[in-house]
Amino acid sequence: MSHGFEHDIALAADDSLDTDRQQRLMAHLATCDDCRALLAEQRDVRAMLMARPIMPVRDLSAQIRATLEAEQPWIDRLNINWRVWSLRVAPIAAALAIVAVVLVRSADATVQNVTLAADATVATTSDDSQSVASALWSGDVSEDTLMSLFLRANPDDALSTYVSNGREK
Amino acid sequence: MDADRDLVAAAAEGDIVAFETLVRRHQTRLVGYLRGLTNTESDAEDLAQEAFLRAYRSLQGFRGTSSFKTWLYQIATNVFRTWLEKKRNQAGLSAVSLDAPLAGTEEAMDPAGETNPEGRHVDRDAIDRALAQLPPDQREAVLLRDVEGFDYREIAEQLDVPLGTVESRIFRGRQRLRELLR
Repeated sequence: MSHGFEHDIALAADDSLDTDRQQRLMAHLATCDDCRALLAEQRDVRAMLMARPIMPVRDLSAQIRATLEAEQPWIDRLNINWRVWSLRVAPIAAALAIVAVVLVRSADATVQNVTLAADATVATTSDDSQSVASALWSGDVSEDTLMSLFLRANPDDALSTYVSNGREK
Repeated sequence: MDADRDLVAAAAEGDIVAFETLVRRHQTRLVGYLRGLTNTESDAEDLAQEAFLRAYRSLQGFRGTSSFKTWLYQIATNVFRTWLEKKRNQAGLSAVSLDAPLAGTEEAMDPAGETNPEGRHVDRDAIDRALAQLPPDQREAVLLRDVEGFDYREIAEQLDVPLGTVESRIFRGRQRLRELLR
């Protein structure tokens, strides 16, 4: 029988009761043997529980760590400090960028040379075509000369084709 | 100030080594608490491990309004409740109230030979056997207050009940233990 003081008795047993409630409880305990006995029992049990030995336990940390690491994405498992690695890789990246620029520029130059050479070929071919046309129109050219001009001419040349078609007709 | 704050912040960023330090710091007492709740060492270790793993996975959501320790014990208590429910379901005792004591703990309550001359000290096994006979809600409250030393407000937060309910559970739990250990 706690006479409505059970909460106060529980708190008083572990010195958690505030002053006002403490005074009220003390006034009641002065006249109530039952509640005094309850408070003593609460204190006894608390003392026993506080004396309950704490036993050493198996270390769980390694197993917990292994489980958590297995759950991490593979990139996190590498445990890379990206800030450090950025600084280390920066000079290499800069060197690679320079090499890339040099390579691109030299490739451009090669393409330009090839284009120029092609242009020169086209120009020569045009000259040959011009020669064929001139020879045809001039009228005073031998068959051998005409043959050699045709042989050197570009078969795709429109004028040569026209002449060739004309002959077949 | 929470002594674990820096480690918790690092662990929340994914630092497993920092979390490992937290595990080593709290594991002994946490297993002890769960030992008091489950009355078995191996279950206590398994549940402690589960509680730590859940804590790590939930660290992003930990707002630091309570200490890490308070939060960890709240998680451990929830892990224990889930375990208890499963255990009772497996035993086909789902109709039994969760307030009932653990099965198989009613025997061997004879602490008489284990009491010291002052009558104040009973060995751990006897205390744990007595604890196992308390309804789980009283067991949790008594252990959190008298063994782990949390204050009433923290316990109310951990158990998600009003302060008056905590006071009542502690009073009744101690009274029951007194009868069991007499």
